[in-house]
Amino acid sequence: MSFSPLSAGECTTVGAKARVLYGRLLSDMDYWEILQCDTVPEIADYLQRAEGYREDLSTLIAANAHRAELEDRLRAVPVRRAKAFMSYLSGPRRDFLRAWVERFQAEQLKRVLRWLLSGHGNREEMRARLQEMPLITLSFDALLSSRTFGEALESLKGTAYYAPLKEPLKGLSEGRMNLFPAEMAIDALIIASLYRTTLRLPLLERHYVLELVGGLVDLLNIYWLYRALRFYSMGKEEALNRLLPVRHKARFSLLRSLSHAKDLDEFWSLLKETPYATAFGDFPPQDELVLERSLKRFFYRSALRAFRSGSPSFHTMVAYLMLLEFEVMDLVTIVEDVRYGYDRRMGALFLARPIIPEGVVSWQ
Amino acid sequence: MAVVKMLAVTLVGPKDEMEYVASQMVLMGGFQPLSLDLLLEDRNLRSRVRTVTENPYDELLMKLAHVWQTAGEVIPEAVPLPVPQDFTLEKARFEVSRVSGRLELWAKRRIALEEELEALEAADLCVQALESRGMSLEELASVEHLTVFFGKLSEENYKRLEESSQDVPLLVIKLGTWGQETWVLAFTIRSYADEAEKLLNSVYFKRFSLSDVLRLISSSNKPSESLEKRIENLKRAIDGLASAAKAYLDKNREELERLFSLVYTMQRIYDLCRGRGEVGDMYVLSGWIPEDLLDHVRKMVEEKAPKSAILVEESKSLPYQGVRVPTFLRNLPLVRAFQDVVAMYSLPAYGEIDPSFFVAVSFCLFFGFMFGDVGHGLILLLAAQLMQKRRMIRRSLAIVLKSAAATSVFFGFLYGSLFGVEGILPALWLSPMENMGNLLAISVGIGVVMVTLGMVLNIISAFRRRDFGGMLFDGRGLAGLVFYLTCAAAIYASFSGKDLPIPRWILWALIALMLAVMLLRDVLARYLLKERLAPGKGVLNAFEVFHNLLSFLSNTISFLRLAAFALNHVGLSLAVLMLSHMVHALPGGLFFGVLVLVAGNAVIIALEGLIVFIQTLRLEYYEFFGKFYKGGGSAFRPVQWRKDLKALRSRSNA
Repeated sequence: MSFSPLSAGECTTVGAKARVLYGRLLSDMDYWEILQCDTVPEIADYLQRAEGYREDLSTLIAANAHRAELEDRLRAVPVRRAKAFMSYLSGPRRDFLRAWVERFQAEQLKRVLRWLLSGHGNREEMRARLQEMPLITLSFDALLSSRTFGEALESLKGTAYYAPLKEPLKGLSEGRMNLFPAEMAIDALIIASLYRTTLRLPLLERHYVLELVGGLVDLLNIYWLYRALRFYSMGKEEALNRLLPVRHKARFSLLRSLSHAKDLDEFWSLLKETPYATAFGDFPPQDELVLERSLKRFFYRSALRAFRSGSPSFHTMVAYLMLLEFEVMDLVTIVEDVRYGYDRRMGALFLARPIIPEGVVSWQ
Repeated sequence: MAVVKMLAVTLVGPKDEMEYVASQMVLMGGFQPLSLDLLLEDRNLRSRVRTVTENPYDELLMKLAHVWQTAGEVIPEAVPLPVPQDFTLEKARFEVSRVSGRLELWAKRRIALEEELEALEAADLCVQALESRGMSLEELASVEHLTVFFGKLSEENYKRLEESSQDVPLLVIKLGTWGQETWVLAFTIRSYADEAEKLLNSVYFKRFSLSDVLRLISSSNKPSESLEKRIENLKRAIDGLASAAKAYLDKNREELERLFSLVYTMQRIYDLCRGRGEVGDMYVLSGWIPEDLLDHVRKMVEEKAPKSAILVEESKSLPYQGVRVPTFLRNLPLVRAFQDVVAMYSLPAYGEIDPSFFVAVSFCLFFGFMFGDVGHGLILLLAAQLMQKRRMIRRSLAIVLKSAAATSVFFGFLYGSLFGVEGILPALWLSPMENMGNLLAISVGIGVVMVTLGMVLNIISAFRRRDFGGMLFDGRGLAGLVFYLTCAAAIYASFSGKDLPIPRWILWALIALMLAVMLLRDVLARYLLKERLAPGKGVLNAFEVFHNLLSFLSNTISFLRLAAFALNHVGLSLAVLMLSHMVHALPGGLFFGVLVLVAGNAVIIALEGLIVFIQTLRLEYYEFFGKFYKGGGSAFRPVQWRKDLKALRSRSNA
């Protein structure tokens, strides 16, 4: 356990800042207002007036806002907020936040690899969007100039991504593999690094953060085994090999049992005995969207619980960032619902924020 | 000292003039590109203008940087070069491919040699590992009922494989870990070979064929020796290729560095052009420039790009009112360092008053007042100089510290204080401990001046915003100022017992009148100035007036800390001296006495210096800025010369 007045100061500062920023998250009423918008520019206009997004969308011209453009701007918001906390932190707390935002950079990397494989999408638009994203450390200019996966790999030399992507990208170049192993390798690297930096946090700050990040690790592992069982014709051992290299409460014995389940009923009966039984909602799920919604809401509630726990500290910041991420995720879903004219009330059912039927009690 | 006036300029002309115009903008260093989306409100026109964002020189620059990387050298410093007119993109491509083509060939050869080396090292490792286990390679390669896999994988993936292969007919034997790679032998039954291969593929197992290993060693009686010899030869060949790249670079260094600078210049030029618009054969380039650069740009365009036109718009006439004009501050050299103190709070918005000059003066005054000591000031000055020299702190912070330390020395002479000891130097003004009352009165007087200055600046800001109601009737406007100064005069008269040149009832009447004006601010603005105000703000205004009254008092009283910290400084120094005297009587007292003196003074400089620094910032940010300053500006960021070199260099180092 390490405690010093400086670290206590750091934690209190970021905790207090997180509480202030939490007050700028959208209310349930805002959600309904946005759901009632008819066009993407209307949503952009609404968000430009919302306190939490005003600054981030200040240079967006609402009248001309395009779906993809608005979504990209929104996706950059959690990274911008995380950056605002960065200067207050040092040591393992700063390392954690770095690992936290690295997930966003990893998403951009996956996007570039998808673009390289499919050839669809505008390179310069991607380049312009990347310029909006803070805390970028990879040389995306070089990556976007790549013509082959070999060149892309060369651009990653000297970064943490090089070693895990070496074989998957080589396989991709030679046509032996698809993009899936490369994406899995990136996820494994990022989530494992996040979990390891969580374990390095001082004991006093670790508890709630570990619950959140550990839960993420376990649920990703379980969800992967569920998908392998339901959708992929993959050997049990191969499915196990593709798990994240870290585990929290769901130990290897449980994961092995899950991978050996003959059908979904057996999978469910095994899962019922774990702390994650509620995360998957009704099981076996009839609809994948409902399952994903259940997972998102499980994380959302965990984050909200962590945010409300104890006095403002480091975990308050992590929980706030997670809540913000879910809010942005919901906004992206709503933007797509509006753009493609889906039923808004149905759309509201699949959001991470449970605004139907009664919503959560507003709390600050 | 001011926020420099900015102009939005749009350059339109034939494409063949674009490169020249853009290169001049880069070399001039005062142009911040502006997205065309923000300028073209007309959607029809906007749909006809094609926005170009690609930079064709990015790729060329990467290829050129690769030359230094291959030679194991750091990328050179690029210097801005005037680009010859015949240095077109085609020519640049040709030159770069001529240089990098040869190196690419060597790189391909090196990759082939490295693959061969990897196979030989795998064979060597296999032979040695089997020998140490008493196993025969020939027997292993010829087993009939089993499938054997030999190869390597990462340590992490090996652990996964170990876990996942527990329940399947796959026996995994670890041969050893070298570097970050684990080498294994795996056995499985023939019927499970395909599944095992899938399993191994899922952990990115790199397989080496045992028959290939057998073939590599078949020609020799002493396989290990022969393999090691071949490995040595291959390593020499690979080193040779690397040194060839170095030799090539050494031979053509001057030419290559020139080419690098030329391509780099062009890359910067196109970085500026990123986001430019094109309509047919015309280019459209928009951005912000400081007003005083306009003549230079006009002259350049008229002389060198006569077919291009320059359109100038002021921020008020832009089609989108939401466009944020960047803030560019221009101040005297010493004041410039204090811009960072202002920016730490927030950069002034475009059109707002730049308080850097006032901050520079008042910051030094407050610090010196609270930390007045010749000895401590000099040490702080030296420490700041040392930290700047060793690049431990930024230049601007060092200047702020040095200025504060210099005023500390100045006030030290005024107080007659040297390392907290009074009496060695004569006090040129007053001694804090002996003139406590005067010191407190002076600090409150400084507070009145600073609060007044803040309100005067707010009145000027309101005038600039054309907010005449706020300027005249607000608590931080003229009414508030008159109210505040009248109260200050009344309090001064009652404390000092002096008579003011006007009767007291006039003072009280003025105070009551100003209070009424502040309370009726919105009504007066509506009826006297015909201003349209948002309804329902009456109650809010009453609270605002109450808040202003409280803040007049609290802001002024807050300046008492100037005197408090000056006294605190003397008190702390006295405590250190007393401690030093107390240990003097002990055995080794002289040593401990000096030790206490040195350590005590170090603590005073470090700890008290820090606290005084924070208190100074507090007075600036809260008591002074709170009266007039909003901030929220975004910095003017012209296209910089060395933006991407860092990224290139970090890649090279990696």
